[in-house]
Amino acid sequence: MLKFIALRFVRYSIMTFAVTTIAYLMAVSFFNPVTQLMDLTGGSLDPEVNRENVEETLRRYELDPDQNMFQRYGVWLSGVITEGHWGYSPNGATVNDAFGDRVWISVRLTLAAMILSTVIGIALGVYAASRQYRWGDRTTTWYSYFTMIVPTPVAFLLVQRGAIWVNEQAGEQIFYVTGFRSIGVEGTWNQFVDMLAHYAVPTLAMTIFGWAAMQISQRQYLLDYVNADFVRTARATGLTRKQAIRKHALRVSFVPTAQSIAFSIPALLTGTFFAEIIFNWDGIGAYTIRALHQHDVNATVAVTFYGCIVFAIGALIADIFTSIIDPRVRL
Amino acid sequence: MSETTVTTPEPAPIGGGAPILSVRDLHVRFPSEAGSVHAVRGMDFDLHPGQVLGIVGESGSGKSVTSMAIMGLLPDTARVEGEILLDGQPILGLSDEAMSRHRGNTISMIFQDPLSSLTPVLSVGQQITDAIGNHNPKMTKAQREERAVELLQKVGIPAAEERLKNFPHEFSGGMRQRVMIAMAMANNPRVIICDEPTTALDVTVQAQVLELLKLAQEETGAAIIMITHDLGVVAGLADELVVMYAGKPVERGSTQQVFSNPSMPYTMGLLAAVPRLDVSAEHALATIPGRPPNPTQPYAGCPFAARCPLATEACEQAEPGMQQISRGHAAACIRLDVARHADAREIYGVEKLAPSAMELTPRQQRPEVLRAENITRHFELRSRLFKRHLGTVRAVDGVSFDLREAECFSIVGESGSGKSTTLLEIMELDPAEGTDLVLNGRTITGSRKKHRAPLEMRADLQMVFQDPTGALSPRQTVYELLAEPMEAQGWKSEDIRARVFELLQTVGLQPDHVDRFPNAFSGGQRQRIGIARALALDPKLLVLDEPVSALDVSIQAGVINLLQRLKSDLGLSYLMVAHDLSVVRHISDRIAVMYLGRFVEIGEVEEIYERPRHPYTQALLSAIPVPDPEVEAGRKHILLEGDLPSPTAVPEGCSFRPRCPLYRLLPEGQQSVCESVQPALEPLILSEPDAGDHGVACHYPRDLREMN
Amino acid sequence: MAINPLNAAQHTQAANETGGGEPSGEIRPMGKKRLILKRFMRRKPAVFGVFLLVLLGAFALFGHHLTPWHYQEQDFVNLGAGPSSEHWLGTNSAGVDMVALLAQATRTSLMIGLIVGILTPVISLVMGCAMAYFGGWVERLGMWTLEALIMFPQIVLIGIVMTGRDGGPVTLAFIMVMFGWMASARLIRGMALSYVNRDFIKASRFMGVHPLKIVWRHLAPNLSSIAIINATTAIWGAILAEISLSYLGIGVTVPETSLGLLIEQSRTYVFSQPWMFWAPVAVFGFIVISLMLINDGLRDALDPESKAGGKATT
Repeated sequence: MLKFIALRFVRYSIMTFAVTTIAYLMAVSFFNPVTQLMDLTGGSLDPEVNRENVEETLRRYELDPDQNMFQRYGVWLSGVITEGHWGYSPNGATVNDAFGDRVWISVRLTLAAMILSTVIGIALGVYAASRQYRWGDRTTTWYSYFTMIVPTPVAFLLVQRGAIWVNEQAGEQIFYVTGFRSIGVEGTWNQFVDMLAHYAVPTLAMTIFGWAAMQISQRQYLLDYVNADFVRTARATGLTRKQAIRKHALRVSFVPTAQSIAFSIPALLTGTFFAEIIFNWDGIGAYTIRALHQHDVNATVAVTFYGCIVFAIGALIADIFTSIIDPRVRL
Repeated sequence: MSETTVTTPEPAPIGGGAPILSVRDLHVRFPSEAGSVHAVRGMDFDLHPGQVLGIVGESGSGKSVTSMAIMGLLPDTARVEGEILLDGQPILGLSDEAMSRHRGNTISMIFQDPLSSLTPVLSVGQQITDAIGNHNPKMTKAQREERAVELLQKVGIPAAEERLKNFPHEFSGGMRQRVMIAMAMANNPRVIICDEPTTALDVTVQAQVLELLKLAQEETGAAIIMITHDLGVVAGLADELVVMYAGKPVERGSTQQVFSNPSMPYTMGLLAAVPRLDVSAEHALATIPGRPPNPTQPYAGCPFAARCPLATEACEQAEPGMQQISRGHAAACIRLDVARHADAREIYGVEKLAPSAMELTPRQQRPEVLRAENITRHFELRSRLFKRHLGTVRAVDGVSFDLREAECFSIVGESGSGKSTTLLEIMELDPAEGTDLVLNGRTITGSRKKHRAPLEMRADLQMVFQDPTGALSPRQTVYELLAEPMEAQGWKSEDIRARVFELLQTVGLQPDHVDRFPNAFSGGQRQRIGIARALALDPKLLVLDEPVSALDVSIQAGVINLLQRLKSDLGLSYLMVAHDLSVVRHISDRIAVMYLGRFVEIGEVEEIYERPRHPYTQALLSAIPVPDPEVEAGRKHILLEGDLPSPTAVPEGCSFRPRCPLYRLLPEGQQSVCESVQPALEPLILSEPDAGDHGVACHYPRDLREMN
Repeated sequence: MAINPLNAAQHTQAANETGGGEPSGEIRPMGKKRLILKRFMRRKPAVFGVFLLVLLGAFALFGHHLTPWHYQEQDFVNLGAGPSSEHWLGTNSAGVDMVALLAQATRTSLMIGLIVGILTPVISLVMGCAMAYFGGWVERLGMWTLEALIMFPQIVLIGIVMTGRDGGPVTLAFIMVMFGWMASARLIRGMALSYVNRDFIKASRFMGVHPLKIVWRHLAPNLSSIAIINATTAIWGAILAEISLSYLGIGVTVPETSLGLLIEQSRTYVFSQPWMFWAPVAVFGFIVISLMLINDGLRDALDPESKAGGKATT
């Protein structure tokens, strides 16, 4: 078991290193923060002076555009390894500072929705499987396929506009469709109500468009087993069909489900691009997109690294989970 | 559909009194896209306490559906009519919940496939204690566990207490079937239904399980329903027999009556279609033409009429009811007056086997087709993580033999003995170092170069696979399938076309089948396609890997006859692997018995079947039940203990020693050589002058029946 | 073997179905492609799907003839105007004719879909088969690449390329291909591995059929149906991804246009000027519906176990 984890750890470390390196080299060669910054700051100034200023700024933040990518990679890597310093953004902020808060915001945005969509997805999957081809199954499954083909931004936009419509109908601000808190709310109860008003819409959007995959896979896993030989054996020992399915088929069908849940737990930490942008929560997702638009090499690479680590943790948890619930798998 | 005359079966010879289970005019229909499938059409029987009732039929005859109807385990969509009385109480139509109080309690069931019949994520102990607890909610956990241990000990699982914690995948197939039997016995049921309980098991394990079932019956006093396609299994076990065809009983009687005087032409054909283990083959096997009627289409006459050699016009008019033949013996046939006195071979037009000139030529004078010297296949076992060497599996360990023209050489043994690996080693034509293969005069010296063998050698050597469905690419038409080997040899397309139609004729298929996909054919037809493809290049040698084991009895006979005819007509040689020793005896000239990668006995088929000398061979042969109750009653079974050992833990000395019945009988002084020296395959002629080229790998070759 | 009278009805039926009826002996094997086409054509919804897709394709190619306006041309008199006789689907906030925009956007999106839909299955088929067939270091290297690519946060990489180089729709399509093949390659590798050990592959090997021919004849056809079915899903997956990426500003950007970009541009007008939002959404819906219908029909036509193949008789 420990050996297995150690071995996996080594493997993922190597892969993370390779992926991060590639991301760094690509970002350095593709990005052009000079023009980007000139667009931001420039205009009235003389273009030549402006360029020099911008380059000077970048040099200060170890983003010298004249150095070749390997030189810069060396400087960056030694910074990361010796001091754990992930570099600066072109505006002078350090990546390390920018990260912490945003991870927390992402977690808060996605946690409730993830729990809800997992629970609802599994419940509806079991429900649909137990009523295969009947009305209840057709409706839930059809709905899942529908949500899977609706583009996420379209779906979230519609939920957001719907909430605005409700506010307009009610004539007061019931839901907040952007941000995660109002400024200047006093008192625990008021803060709590304010929080609910902010959470409701994004959580609803992510939940109702989020359970589809879980529902479809849980339905399929259970259907694979409801007519299994071992369910028949269990019935032959004196269980009713329902009891046998609950005790035997359901249990076996949870093996792959647990694996995919384990895999998705760390995804909490990476946040979601669409929800954060549409509902305007400044989490990791929004940060990533901004970094890309600003040609922010260090932030982009940090996000890449972070994504790899989270993926590796997910894969490891999934393996461990499986070995715990499935006696046939031993690590 | 005509009205069936229902004759109440007479009281059984043993048990007597009221039947514990009665089934009256049972009908089961399943809705399907093609219309309603009438799977059981009037099943009738009585089961008396302590009685063993055999229900025999081919796949699709409705025998399993009947058992599921009794257990209340049919899907909700099934429409069940009729009457089922358990101890006088009607149980048909009970709710699932009401029925669940009977299941596992008064009536329990043992299923065919022990691999998939136990829940993989629950421990065996959990599953047995649940089976007990379902009907004894008041028992404490400790009491249940105690009972579970007691049950496991009864079914012969060593170290029962520790094994409760194990999961099903940690048990071998035979051990899992023992667990199933323990679960079925748990609450001392009145009736145990066994649905093909030994079909998935090796013959040696089958013998153990059958023995155990007898014990379970004695232990619980339960009546047993034995559902099987294997006439041998019921011959030794059942008191009463019901033969099913197209969803209804066509003959019933005591086992003795049905076997000694089969009266319905179907039963006669079935019995004549099975090769016999205990007599040498003089006749071809009876084949029943056609296939069973489509259960979605109702028919007026006798369902067997279309396949029956005795059918007259009257047979097509109305479905016959049961006609009394003698006390307790009845058959559903209107031509019983002719049928009951007829000889099955005669009415099915079975011919005597007529060996060709080549087959009558003494073996030494026939040309050699294949000589294999020292075939070896070792697998290195390595751990998944660090590739640490864990051991070597000697799947095939120095096997040598030769094969002459128009000869069938068979290798027999339990699964895991290495017999199929031997075939594949030959088929690859790329053997390991130290191995020589001489095929039709051309030699391949072992080198494991991973290169392709010359095409001419491929043409001489072709293979027929066990599973006819898996061996035919589902995306090719019959034409493409048959053309493939010829295309590989670079034949011209006109030649291929002509040959394809010739081949279809040779194996008895219709020419208009060429543009069908394999899924349009029945199992027997698919196997014929497989044989036609193997014949395409006019090979010298066909390698047959369990060629009939996936087929029903009556279909199997047709394929065996075809193989036999091809051997005589074309002078083909066969190298065959089969687990059915009766089939092996029927078509083989020579056999070898394989155990853990080595030949333990080799020789002429008659010699080995009549005078087996290795204790393993003797155990194997005695494990096979013979489809004849009289013979079966007189046979002594040598039961082997345990399963085939793990190939990584082959014991020192003679590898068969731990299971050897002879070893245990030997005086201590003689045992030591078995413990230290692996016996070599030596000609028996040294000790028995008339043994021919019979060879045995045993330190003390002798007839076990003559001991003790 | 005698013809079973009970199956005679089936027999003639089967003969009619396959267009047979010629006397035996002169029967020519029927082409498999024809058979598959025939089975596909039997499914009305699938045929409708093809019709719909052709219609959409025609709109993408020739839709600009429906309006005198060009998709980069502004009508300053009609800014954000509703549908009228001059602008059938109205104009957007910059006064560009929606029909012209939509035709161009459909063209971009379909082109991305086609590039991804064709290249991804091909690459995954090649990679999957190669890994399964050659094994050894090819497999190990392939699996490492595959896992590394799966591990790579894809949106970030797409973002680096697209924002860094202001890539157009074609670049976007090729990056999607680069990151789209892994899942199905892994699936195909698994299936190919199971096929390699199947008896019918062994049979061909033992017949002396050339290994490459085995791959071509047996491995590929059995896997290509998955690849073909995957292709239809890959097309709509790519179009879906384009919408998402363009919405994030790392997909197609002005001056090009695409369905995703149109949706992004109209995000604040969902209620006030709904035609801007719903027109591209509707086009996307039609594309998905047509592909789903085709997918369903293909699945059935390519399935050798399908009931529609006729039955042989004894």
